[in-house]
Amino acid sequence: MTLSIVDLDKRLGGRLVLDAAGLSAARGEVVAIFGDNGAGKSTLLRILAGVLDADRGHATLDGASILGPRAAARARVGYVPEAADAPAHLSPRELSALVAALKRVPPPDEALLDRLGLRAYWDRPFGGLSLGQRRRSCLCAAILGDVRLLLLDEPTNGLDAAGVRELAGLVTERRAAGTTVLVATHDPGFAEAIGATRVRLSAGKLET
Amino acid sequence: MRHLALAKILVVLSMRAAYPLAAPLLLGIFLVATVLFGPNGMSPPEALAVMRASPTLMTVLWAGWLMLGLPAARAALVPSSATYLRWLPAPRLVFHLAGGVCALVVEAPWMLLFGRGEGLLSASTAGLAALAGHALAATRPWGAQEALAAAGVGLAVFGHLPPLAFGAALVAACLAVPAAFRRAPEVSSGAARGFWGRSPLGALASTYLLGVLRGEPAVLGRALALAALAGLILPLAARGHDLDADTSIGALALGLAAVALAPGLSGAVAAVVRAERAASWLCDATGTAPRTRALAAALAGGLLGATSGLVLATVGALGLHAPLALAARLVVLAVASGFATGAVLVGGAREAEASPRRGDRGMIEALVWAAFGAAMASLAGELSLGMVLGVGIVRIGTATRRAEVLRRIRGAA
Repeated sequence: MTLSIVDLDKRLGGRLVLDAAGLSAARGEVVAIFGDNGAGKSTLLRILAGVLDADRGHATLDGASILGPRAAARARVGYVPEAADAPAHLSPRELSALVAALKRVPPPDEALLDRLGLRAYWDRPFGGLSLGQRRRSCLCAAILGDVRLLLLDEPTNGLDAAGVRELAGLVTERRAAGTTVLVATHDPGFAEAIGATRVRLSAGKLET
Repeated sequence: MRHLALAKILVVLSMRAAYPLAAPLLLGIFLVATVLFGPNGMSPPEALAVMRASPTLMTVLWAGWLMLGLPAARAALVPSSATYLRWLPAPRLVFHLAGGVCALVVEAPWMLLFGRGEGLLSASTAGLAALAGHALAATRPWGAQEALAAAGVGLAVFGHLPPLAFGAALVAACLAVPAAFRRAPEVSSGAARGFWGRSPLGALASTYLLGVLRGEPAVLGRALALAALAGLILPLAARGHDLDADTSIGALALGLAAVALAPGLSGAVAAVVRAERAASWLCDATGTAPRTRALAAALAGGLLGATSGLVLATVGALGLHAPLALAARLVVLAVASGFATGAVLVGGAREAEASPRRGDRGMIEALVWAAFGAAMASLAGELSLGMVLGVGIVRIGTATRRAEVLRRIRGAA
C-alpha cells in the first residue's frame, strides 16, 4: 500500500475536524474526497502536505512517515492549495526554480510549460495572476521531481474548460506513472473524468 | 546552501508583512525616545533602574511592549504569505530562523533600551524574551510547551542572575517560536468567532478597529506618538508647577489628555469612520440598525482613545518615577478620558459627514472638546472626569439618534 492514513485527529477552533480519519490508497490510485463545506477536506490535505500538524495519528508514504517536522518523505509529495497562494512577489519561474532546488531535481522542461500554458505569464509575479493562472503555476511546481503523492485541493476552481481537460489528462498520466493522487473536490464530473475512487469526509471520518 | 534561496524568500515575506505595521511603531518610539532620553531627560540605566525597582512597573512596561509590538512581530514571525511554502521539503528550522531574525528586528528598540542600560547580555535576554512573548501571544491554544515557554519568559524578565535570565529567555524562544509556527495556520479558525463573540456591537467595533490597524496603521501610530509626547510633558509640567499631591498630578494628567489626545485621535477616528463607511453596504444588507453602527463606531473610537490614554499615563508614570498608587490613578484617569474623547470624536466625524459643512464641523467639535476638557480639569480637578464622561454619554446618545440620517445619506451616495 503506498499511502496509509491511520487515526488522524485534528481539532481547530475547539471543533474536532478530523476524528480518527483513516484511508489507504494503492500506488497509482486516484482518490476523490467529497464532503460538505467545512467538512475538513482541506485540513486533511494540509496535514498531509505538512502545512498543519495533526493532533494524533500517522500517515505514511511507501512506509515512511510524511507527518512531522523531519519528514524526509515529503520530497516526494506535491501540493496545490485551494487558493494557490504562492508568495505574491515570486514569478512562476522563480517558484519552480525554488521547488526544483529544494527537491534537487531539474526545473520544468519546455514541454510542460507549453502544456500548462505557462509561457505567457512565466515571468510575471503571482500577485498579478488570476486564480486559474496561479493554480496552473502551482501545479507545475507540485509535479516537479519524483512525486509519489499529489495533493490537489479543489483543483478545478478557477480553471477554464481547457484547463480542466488538461488537468484531467495530467492526473491520468501521473496515475499511469504510479503517482497516488488525493483530490478534494465538489465536482463529480471531474472525479469521473480522472477515474477516481470516491470517499466522503463526514463528521471527521472518511467513508468509502 | 539550497535552503538559502528559501530563507531569502521567507525573509522578504516577513519584512513585507511586518513593515507596514512596524514602521509607525518604530517611528513613534524613536520620537518618544528622543525626548525621553534627550539631554534633559533620563538615561537608559536610570530608566532600567526604575523598572528593576518596581516589579509592577516592569510588568506594565513589558505588557505594553508586547501589546504594542504584537502585530508587527507576529507578521514577521509567521507571515501568512509564507504558509504555502510549508509543503516544500525543507527543515522547519529555516522557517523558524528566518521568522525569528525578522521578529528580532521589530524587537530592536526594546533590545536597544536594555543594551544601552545594562549591556549586551541584557539586550539579548530582552530580545529573546520579547520574541518568545510575542510568539506566545500569537499562539492559541496553549499546551504544556507553551506554558513552559511562558514560565521561561517570566524568569527572564524577573530573574536576578543575568546568565540564568538569558538561558531562560533562550529556552523560551526555542519553545515558543516553533509553537507559534505550528499554530499559525490554525489561528484563523479561532479568530473567525470575532473579538467579542457574536455580539453585533462587538463584531462591528472589532471590524472597524481591524480596518484602522490593517488599513491605516500610520494614523494610529501618530495618535500614540502624540499621547506619548503628552506623557513626557506630564512630569516636566508637574515639576514646573511643584505639584506633589496625587490629586493635583491627576488633574494635570486630565488637562493634558484633553489637549493632547484630541488632535492625535482626530485622524484615527476619521479612519474608524472610513472603515464604517466601507462596511456600510454589509450593514445595509444584513439589516443592522443604524444605532448599532453608531455605537460600534463610538466603541471603536473609544478603545483607540483608551489606548492613547494608556500610553500617556504609562510614559507619564515612568517619567514621574510614580509609585504604584499614583501610576494606577494616572492610568484610570487617562484611559477613561481617552475613551470618552475617542467616542465623542467619532460622533463628531459622523456628524461632519452628515452635515453640509462636513469637515469644519468635526474639527470644531474636536477643538471645543479639547478646550472643554482642559477648562474642566483646571476648574474641577479630577472631578472633571465625571463631567467629561457625562457630556460624552449625552453626545454619543445624540449621535446614535441621528444615525439614520447618515445611513440615508450614505445610501444615496
